[in-house]
Amino acid sequence: MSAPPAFAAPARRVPRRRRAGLAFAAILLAWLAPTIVSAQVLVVLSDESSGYQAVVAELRTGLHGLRDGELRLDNIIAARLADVDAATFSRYELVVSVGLAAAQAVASRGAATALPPTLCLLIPRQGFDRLALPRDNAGERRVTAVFIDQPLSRQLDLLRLALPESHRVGVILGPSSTALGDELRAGAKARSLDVATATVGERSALYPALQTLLPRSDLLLLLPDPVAINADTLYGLLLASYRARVPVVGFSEGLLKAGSLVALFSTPQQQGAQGAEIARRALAHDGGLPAPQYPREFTVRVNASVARSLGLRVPDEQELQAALGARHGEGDATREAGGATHGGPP
Amino acid sequence: MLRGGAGGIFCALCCIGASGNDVVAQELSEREFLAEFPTVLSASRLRQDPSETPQAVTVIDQAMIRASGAREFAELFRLVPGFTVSYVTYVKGLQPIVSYHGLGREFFSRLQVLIDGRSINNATLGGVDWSEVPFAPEDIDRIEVIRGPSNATHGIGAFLATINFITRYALQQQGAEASVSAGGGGVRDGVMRFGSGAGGFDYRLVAGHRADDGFTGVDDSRRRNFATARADWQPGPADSLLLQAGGTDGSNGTGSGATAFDPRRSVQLTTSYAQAKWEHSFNPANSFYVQAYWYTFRLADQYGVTLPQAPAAGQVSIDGGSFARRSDLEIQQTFGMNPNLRWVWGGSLREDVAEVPSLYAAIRPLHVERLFGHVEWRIDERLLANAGAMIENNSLSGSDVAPQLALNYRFTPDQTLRFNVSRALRTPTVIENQGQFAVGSPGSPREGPAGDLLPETILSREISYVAQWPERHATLDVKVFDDSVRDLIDLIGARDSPGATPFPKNAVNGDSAHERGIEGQYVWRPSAATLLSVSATWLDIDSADRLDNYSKSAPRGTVHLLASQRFAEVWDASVTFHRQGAFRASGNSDPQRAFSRVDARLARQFALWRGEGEIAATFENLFDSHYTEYRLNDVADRRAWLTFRYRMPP
Repeated sequence: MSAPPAFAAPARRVPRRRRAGLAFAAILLAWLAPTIVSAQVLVVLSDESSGYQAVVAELRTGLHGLRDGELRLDNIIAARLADVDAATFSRYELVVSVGLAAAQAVASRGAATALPPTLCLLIPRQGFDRLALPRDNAGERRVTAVFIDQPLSRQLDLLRLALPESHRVGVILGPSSTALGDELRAGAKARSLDVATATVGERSALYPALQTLLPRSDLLLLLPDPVAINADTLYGLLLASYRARVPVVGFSEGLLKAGSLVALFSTPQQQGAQGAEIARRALAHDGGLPAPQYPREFTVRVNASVARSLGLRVPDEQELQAALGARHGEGDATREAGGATHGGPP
Repeated sequence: MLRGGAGGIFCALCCIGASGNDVVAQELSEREFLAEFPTVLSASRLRQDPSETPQAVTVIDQAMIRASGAREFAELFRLVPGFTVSYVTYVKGLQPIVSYHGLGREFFSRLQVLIDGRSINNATLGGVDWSEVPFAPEDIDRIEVIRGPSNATHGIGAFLATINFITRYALQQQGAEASVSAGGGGVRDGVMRFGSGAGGFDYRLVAGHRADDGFTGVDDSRRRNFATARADWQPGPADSLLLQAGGTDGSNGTGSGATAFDPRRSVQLTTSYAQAKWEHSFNPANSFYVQAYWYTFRLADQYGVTLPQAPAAGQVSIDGGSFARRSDLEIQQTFGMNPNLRWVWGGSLREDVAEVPSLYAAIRPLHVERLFGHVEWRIDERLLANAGAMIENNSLSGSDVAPQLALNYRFTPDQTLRFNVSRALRTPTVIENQGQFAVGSPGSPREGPAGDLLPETILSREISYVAQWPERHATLDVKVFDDSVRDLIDLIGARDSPGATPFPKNAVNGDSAHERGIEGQYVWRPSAATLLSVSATWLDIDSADRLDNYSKSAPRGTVHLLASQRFAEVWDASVTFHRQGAFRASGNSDPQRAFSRVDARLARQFALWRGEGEIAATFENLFDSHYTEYRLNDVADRRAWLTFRYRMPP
């Protein structure tokens, strides 16, 4: 009932000139929309930043040539979604949200009007699970997603491949990542890994937690959490781990460049391509959506200078990616998301 | 429903809290995955793989420091190949002497010793004030020992070897900690430590006291108070600022009482320092730092002597004290042109000021300017070249160049051969250049004009073999060397030299030495609970020994072993074995006979009132081997002490 209002989505600051342009585009869109019968795909972006644009570019490429080139993609930022009237909105064959804020904005529209089939991209699984989505019609999935996170099983398999000697895995759990604790322990047990966790409720608790965690860890696996892992805490986290000779395994390219030894992530392009494929099928099969899924394509990167400095021999990126890909093919990615079927059939 | 409600409230909060980034950041979003961060582990912060360094490097980490049980910083270097540690007790009281490949004298040093990049060599004579380190061994993260000359990478004074203490970041030691040690030989130590911080600003305060009675029967007790404050601040995402200040204050017993000029007495020693270092990283490959520090040392030693004979019969007041101040400014930039080519360049300015009343001479300050650069070129997967040079200009001995060339050839993934040729300089200190070293009648002339000394030079040739067994967590490093040291500075009239005269004495470029040998170290860490380190050295020094006995100034052979094991997660046991051949240090030494020594430590940790406690028993010279140090009456005894430590996390 009390779905998050669209206007509340935290939008990034947009330059005034661009803001004026966007407003104009939105008005134009609102004015044109009812007159166009073949309004087909609406792409809602959290904001205009480049990560989102990369996804849109992949979507465009992936959907190119569909419906004899007549397929239209409308773009709008989340903060302007409220300007699209209900009739126009419900006429879209497919809505693609890019980013959590965009997904929240779309979901909030769903409370009042019927939601067109919706695909959420660049969204953490947790954020997707928490969306206030309308119940699906029997047998028909209305909302799906490609999560931005990597499945834990894939992350744990990477640890075994990249650092086979390291059995003691240290993990800092924050308010967001703490929910993964049980899945983490079960997955680690299946791979003969010992997991030591430290739970932090606030940023200042991180270093004391590290002091007890690092001596018990051969490596530190980072799980996304805005309280535990952020620009303020990362500096100390990486320095303290490095000094303790404990390599860090990260979940983004940014973490790799900052000083992680290995990082596993899916680029916006990879996620956009997967989104385009889902959208293509959905448009072809008249709205049939697959289950929410983890990214199928992923990238493994190794920070060679950190590896050298720690005296670690890490297999090269291609080797790791190929070995990990062999275990985590397309089918797996979908199956692993089995637990995350919010909005799916019972 | 409930979730939606929470989301609504959350989003409403977002709207209200326009500046409340903390609130916004509480929910996991794609931002965490897409965020860019400044490079934390930039090239200048990463230590090099031992198989890729241009010189042989030994790292002593906190685990080894703890296992060694050492309470004396100098003792740690017994574990390092090629090093000897000895103690003198005269003039300033008990002073450790650490040397690499011999050639070490009492108050001079041919080693560069740095704490976080700050030199602690005394500006008067260049010696290292080992008793004046203003913190405890637990404050060290690791010690990097560069076994060989490295002017191009480690700066002025990096002559025979360089020791760099890297202390822990403030955030590595948060909470409160206290420890006390007491035992035989008058050991009475205590340290308190507190660390805290938030929002990118972390600090640590350390204060303590060290005391012992030195050698039995020798008046060489030491009492020292020390304190250090350290702050690590991140003013921006790509910047970090290190601020440190501290000092030591205390007294040493000295004086043999054998002559009227050397009465038993107590001398006061005071040091202080301050350091600021700003690091900025543009990207993973490009960063720079600017560092400034000063260090002062004061020895107060005033006493009266009654002269019985004419013409100067009566009470004479003697001031054996000294004062030294070093100020240093340094800038260094590291940048990678591409993944295979990395440049480091920089420069520094230094001023050394000294006052030594007993030298009856006004001493001009020494100004040193230095430019250095080196390039690391990864020619292919197997070959790494490192070439560099330092150009130094100083106000007393002029300009000189110290070039260096090293080639590391990784012939299998885990085995490397290193070929290194380097030339390095040791600039004469202010006192060497201008002082005269004996207490003579006022106005005694210096032999030779002041400021006529040349820098000492070394031409070092090294071939090393480095093997790593990553799966066994073991490394082996063996170095074969052939070094020519020229223009060694020593005192005319020093003991044993043919032209010995009591007065005046001053420093000249007198001797050369040719050093050849082999040394190696094997370190094995099969698990986090076990550590084994073995090192051995064979060294031959050839010298004409005109002014000093350089050719015997290091033992021919040494073997050191450290083994440490942790049991049941709470017990730590470690044992150290040292075997050192006979030698006779340079300077006013007596011959030291060969000896074997065993040290041992046993510690147990336990939970204690909101924190953890540890009780440790440390035995130095467990089997009471009565070997002698610098002088024959400095006899080593067994010494044991108990340490109780309590740590409370924040």
